[in-house]
Amino acid sequence: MLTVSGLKAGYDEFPVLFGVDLKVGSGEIITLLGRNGMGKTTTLRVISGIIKPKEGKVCLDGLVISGWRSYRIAKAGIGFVPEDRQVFPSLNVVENLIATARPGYWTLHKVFSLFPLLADRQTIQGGLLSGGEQQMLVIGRALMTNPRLLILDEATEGLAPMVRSEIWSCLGKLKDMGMAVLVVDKYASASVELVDRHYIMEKGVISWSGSSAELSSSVMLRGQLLSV
Amino acid sequence: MDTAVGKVVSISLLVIFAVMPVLAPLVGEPYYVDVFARIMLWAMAALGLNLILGFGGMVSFGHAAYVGVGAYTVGILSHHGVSSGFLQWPLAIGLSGIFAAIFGAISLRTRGIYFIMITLAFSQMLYFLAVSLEQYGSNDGLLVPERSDFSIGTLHAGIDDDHAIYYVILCILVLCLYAKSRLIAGRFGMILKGIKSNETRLQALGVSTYRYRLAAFTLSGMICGLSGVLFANFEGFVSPDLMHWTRSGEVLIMVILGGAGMLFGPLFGATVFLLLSEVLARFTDYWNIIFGPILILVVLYAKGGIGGLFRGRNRG
Repeated sequence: MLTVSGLKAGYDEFPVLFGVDLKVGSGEIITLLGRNGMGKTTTLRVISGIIKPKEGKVCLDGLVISGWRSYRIAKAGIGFVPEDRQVFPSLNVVENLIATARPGYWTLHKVFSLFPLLADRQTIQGGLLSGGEQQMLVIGRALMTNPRLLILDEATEGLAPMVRSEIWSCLGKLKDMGMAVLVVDKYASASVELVDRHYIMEKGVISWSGSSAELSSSVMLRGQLLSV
Repeated sequence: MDTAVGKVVSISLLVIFAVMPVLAPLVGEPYYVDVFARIMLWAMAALGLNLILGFGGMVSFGHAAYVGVGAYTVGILSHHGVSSGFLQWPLAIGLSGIFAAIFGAISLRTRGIYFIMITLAFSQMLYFLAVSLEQYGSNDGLLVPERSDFSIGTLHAGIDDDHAIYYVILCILVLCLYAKSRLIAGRFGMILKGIKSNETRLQALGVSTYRYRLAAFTLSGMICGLSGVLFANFEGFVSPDLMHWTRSGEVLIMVILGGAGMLFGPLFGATVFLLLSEVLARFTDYWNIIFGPILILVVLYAKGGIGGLFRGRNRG
């Protein structure tokens, strides 16, 4: 579904990515791991069009989308959940969900059945929700655009362990429905059984990729590449 | 307005406007009918600006220009003997919209202080254009010989009566308020508020924010144009002064004073601004010395302006 090849990008004159290659297939959960500052967020930002790549290609179902404006990329089927959540604070829960919605499988009703907590908060302003609720809201907001690929940056950072596992179980449900998910999450190892493939980033390139089993068995790898 | 108090105050204010033509002569101040009509006209312009400033976060420093376009269109047509309102009004509002769309298309590519400067520059262009129109009175302005005529065949309908024009202004203001409340409650309003808080996020969710901002800018210019149409009819006179940059500044102050992003904010702002300047000017020629500090106090201590005082705690 998503193919990233030879991606180079950076901020102004400061290069961050030096040729990133990765693949996400439909119905797969893929994680992007690595220490801070290795280029994970930048990679996701380039894929979703917030930053323009300097070289390389991003293809969605064979269509080259790199260099497109972010709203076109979103329309092409990529839902992006940013790391600092960014709900629209002055809109209430329902408004946050429907403002950018596009027709498709996901409706208010379906989002509320995925996150029952949000259903009880419908008229509350987005800015007044707890961190966990905000994260559910932004995931719901991205789903309401009916994407084929959902990208989450720091999916569960700063959330309580219970909320964290709830978010991951939702990702599992989405996977079962055939949605592709690309996720950056420090706590991904707690849910390795859901993940199809891991990519580890180091200094702006993918330094390792493999299955959950391979990642779990390599104590050295985890120690070297993932510890902060 | 979120709270019950806010609703009561807003409705009461509209009722006061409605009874003013009867009340003012009774208390021996018929002059205040004109003051209140002007308040409504500027409130309408401020309402237009509030759409993009209060809800969309775009600080335009040139909205008096569109008031001027609306007023001059009516003035020039009337000067040439074309007094049909069915022709004047759509043309005036349409022209304001076209100017706003063209200026907006360019200005909206900039942000922050540059946006403020470029909107100011465009409005100055129109101001000097009006000044250069010697045929139409240049600096001295242009008399509007007759008010818009809405007669169909032998059925005579006009707004020649002073009470008639007052109530036409009031009705149109109420209609604008209603239309805006509907607009803001809908998806368009949600996206505007989203643009104000996080434009990048909206784009990443698939919204071409530029189009929405341009649509809002154009619509806001058209509302100002409508206010200009009514100005020309009410005053019977148009002049470049209507488009002067200080006018744009005043409209901006009305929006902020009344409460940016609040439906009735512009009405509160225009009422307080114009009444206060009216009353203070009776005491001293240097009324600005008192007026300035009051504005500063409001900005410092009444967050969200006058409208903000009536708002619940969970305001956005």
